[in-house]
Amino acid sequence: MNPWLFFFRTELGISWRERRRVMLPLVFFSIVAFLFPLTLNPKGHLLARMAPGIIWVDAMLAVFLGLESLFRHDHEEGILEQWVISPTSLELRVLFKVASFWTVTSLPLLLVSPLLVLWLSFPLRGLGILMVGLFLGTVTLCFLGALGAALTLTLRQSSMLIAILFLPIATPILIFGAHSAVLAARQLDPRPALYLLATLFFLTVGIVPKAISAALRISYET
Amino acid sequence: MTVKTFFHRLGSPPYFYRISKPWGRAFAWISLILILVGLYGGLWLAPPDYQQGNGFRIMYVHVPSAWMSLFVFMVIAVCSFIALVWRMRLSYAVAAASAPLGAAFTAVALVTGSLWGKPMWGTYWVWDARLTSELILFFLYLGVITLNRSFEDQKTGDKAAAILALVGAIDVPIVHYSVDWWQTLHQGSSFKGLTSEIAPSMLWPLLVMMTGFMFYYGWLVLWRTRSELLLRESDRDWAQQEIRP
Repeated sequence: MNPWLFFFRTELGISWRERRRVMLPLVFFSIVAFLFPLTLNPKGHLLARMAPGIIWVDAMLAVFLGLESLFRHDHEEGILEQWVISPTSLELRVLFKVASFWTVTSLPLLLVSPLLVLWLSFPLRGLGILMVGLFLGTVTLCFLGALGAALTLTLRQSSMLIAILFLPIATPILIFGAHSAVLAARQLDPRPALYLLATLFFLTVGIVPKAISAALRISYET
Repeated sequence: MTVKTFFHRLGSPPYFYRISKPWGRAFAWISLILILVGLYGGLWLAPPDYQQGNGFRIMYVHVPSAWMSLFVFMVIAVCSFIALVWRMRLSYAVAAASAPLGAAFTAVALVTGSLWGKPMWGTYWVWDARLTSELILFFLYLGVITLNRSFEDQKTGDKAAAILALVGAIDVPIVHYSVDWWQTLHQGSSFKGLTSEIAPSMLWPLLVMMTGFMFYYGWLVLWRTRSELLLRESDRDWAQQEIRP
């Protein structure tokens, strides 16, 4: 078996052992979405118009929730140090680590998004585009968030700091993502927004692992 | 002395500490004169605007601040790059000294912009592309400052803030473009600060003010970098000698 695939599978296995980490973002994502109809007027019209924004902000917060623990365990157990000094590419390792993080925390969000679409009376014809957008967007958000987590690795109580670092940088993804859903709901062509989202996706996946690796190396340099 | 040797000498904190004092003094005087001349030109000599009356005069503070907010972020990004690639200690100090100044310029631009917006647009805030990206820039500044100060070891904080500044420098144009795109999707921009070309009698004080703000920043950044260097190098001989009376 390809060693990188093996690494990816091992990471997935470790996360699966701690099922709390899988369940927590999912439950959070659902509960936040469920609060909006209760606090706003639940009569369809307003809710349907706000649905793309609610779902996207909600998804971003759910991704953010897991970030603090992303590298923490590996750092405390000294595994991360082994990655840094190992001759194999740290960038690739980071890529697969974040990919596994996405699979564990964000893929369930995608799978549960049809339920939110029903709750928020978002038109069903926009569901496909919403899910494609959420796929591109959550992967990008995971990488940007991982950068925040890597920069604050050695700090205690880092989640507040991650929020300051991560949220401003994430705004373009939210803008393009939510608007692809808005366009789809209005039966307009959502491709401009999706293409821009895809551009950010490839840009992030290409560049940010390098920045994450540099950030992780800082913690072990003296 | 060639540019290259000058650059190499700048790598030495004591050398920078020595030459920055006269340079800072000069910058302070130049900025004081330019800002006074610019204010006189802007507040007294320039004629009132035919649409905005005297209200447009806040432009002489607003535009230079907004311009400096972007310029300082560029300085931080370039310094971060130099520091990460060539491991130049001075660069980290300049970046750390610049961040609060840039944040202050951004805050001034936002506040004066809001004050200008109320009489002219009828509201303190609109979700216009420029306003939104300026606000996000302010948050980025706060992130860089906080990250730099969060670590026990200053070197770690410097490097972490440098990486964030570089990513932020790539991000700022993307943010601006995305907000622009989002805004045009909703409605045409109904607000334009000055649609026509600025008349020469109004333009020259603005240019003088912008140059004055540049020198003002130059003065403050030299002064702050000196303190940053003393803090960072406090265990070295040269710093000990400087501190002792």
